[in-house]
Amino acid sequence: MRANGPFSANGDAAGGRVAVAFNPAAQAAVAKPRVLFSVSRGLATIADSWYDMGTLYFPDASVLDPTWLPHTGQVWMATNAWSVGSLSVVGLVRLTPDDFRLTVSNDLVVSGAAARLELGGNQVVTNIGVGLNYLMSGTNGPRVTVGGNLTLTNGGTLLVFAGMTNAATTNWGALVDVAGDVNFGNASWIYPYSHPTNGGSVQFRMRNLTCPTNAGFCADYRGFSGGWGNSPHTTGWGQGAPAGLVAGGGYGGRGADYSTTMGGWPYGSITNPVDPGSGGSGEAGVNGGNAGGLVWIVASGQVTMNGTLGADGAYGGDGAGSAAA
Amino acid sequence: MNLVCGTLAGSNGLLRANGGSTLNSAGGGGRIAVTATNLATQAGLPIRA
Repeated sequence: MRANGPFSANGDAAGGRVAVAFNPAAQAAVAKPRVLFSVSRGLATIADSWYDMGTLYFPDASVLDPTWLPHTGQVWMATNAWSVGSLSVVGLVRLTPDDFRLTVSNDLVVSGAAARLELGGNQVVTNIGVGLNYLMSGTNGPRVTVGGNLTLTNGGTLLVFAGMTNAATTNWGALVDVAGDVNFGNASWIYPYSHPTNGGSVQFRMRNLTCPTNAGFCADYRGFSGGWGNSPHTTGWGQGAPAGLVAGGGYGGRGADYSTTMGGWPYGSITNPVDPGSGGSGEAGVNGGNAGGLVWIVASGQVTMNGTLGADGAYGGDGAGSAAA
Repeated sequence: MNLVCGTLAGSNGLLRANGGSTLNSAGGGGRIAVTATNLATQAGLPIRA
């Protein structure tokens, strides 16, 4: 079943919508169907990162086979939970509902150049700066529990969009809790997105982490949002946001001034940083740069890092900088 | 960037949290904290902020 966006030389079309209304109890009692669902975005010669795939709606996940997940689309369900034995993702699947709880008793594997598992990201950010935070989770970000290992290989990627921080308890905005090991293969990446206005970020827990060259965690440009360049122009977001327009955001160090407008100040912890960087401010017609996000790893065992952990700030156009976390 | 682990090893890894560049007012650098009980192979693991 497909409702894909069309090919275009310039403009990029979004995917459509597919809704399948089945009886959950009856569906759970029969074999998993081998039916491919696809609402991919169109393929454009000139691509941008804004246009998105469409939506797939099911009453619950009983129509999805966790050992065969080649679908493409934002998956919306009436329930916010899915518990499986093992999960193998080879398609492009965004488990979208707010406060989504994915529980995998054994291993979670994302394998293949086209394989991408996205968690959260149910809201579109409209007044963003320069960067990649075009989606965000709402109040409650996703939680993932894996009883075995999490493996990303052959180009497989995992995107996690944090909700607002639950600072009163453990301070994270999304949680990926792996009882076993996190293993990266070649060209495989995890992209943690901080909440662009609240700063809630993703915490990853595991036993051991093994990462080869050309793989790792990339939180570049995925921190607090930069200011908006369209009227009304805004300063960047975050505790280290600049005092006025055009100036740069701060975090570990101070952001740059612009004329008499002061850049953002340092904030957060030296020994236990749990914040993303603050965005740079916008000016007329130019968005501020988004800040670097937060790579937050808690491993009880060994981390073998031959790849990259990145959290750089984004280029701020003509008028604003950004900080990294 | 907040990395807590029992041990840290690596031969060619990179941890970075650099500020964004711009024509007028760039961002400050970020933060990196590595809390490990044993830095097994610190050499060859550049850390930049």
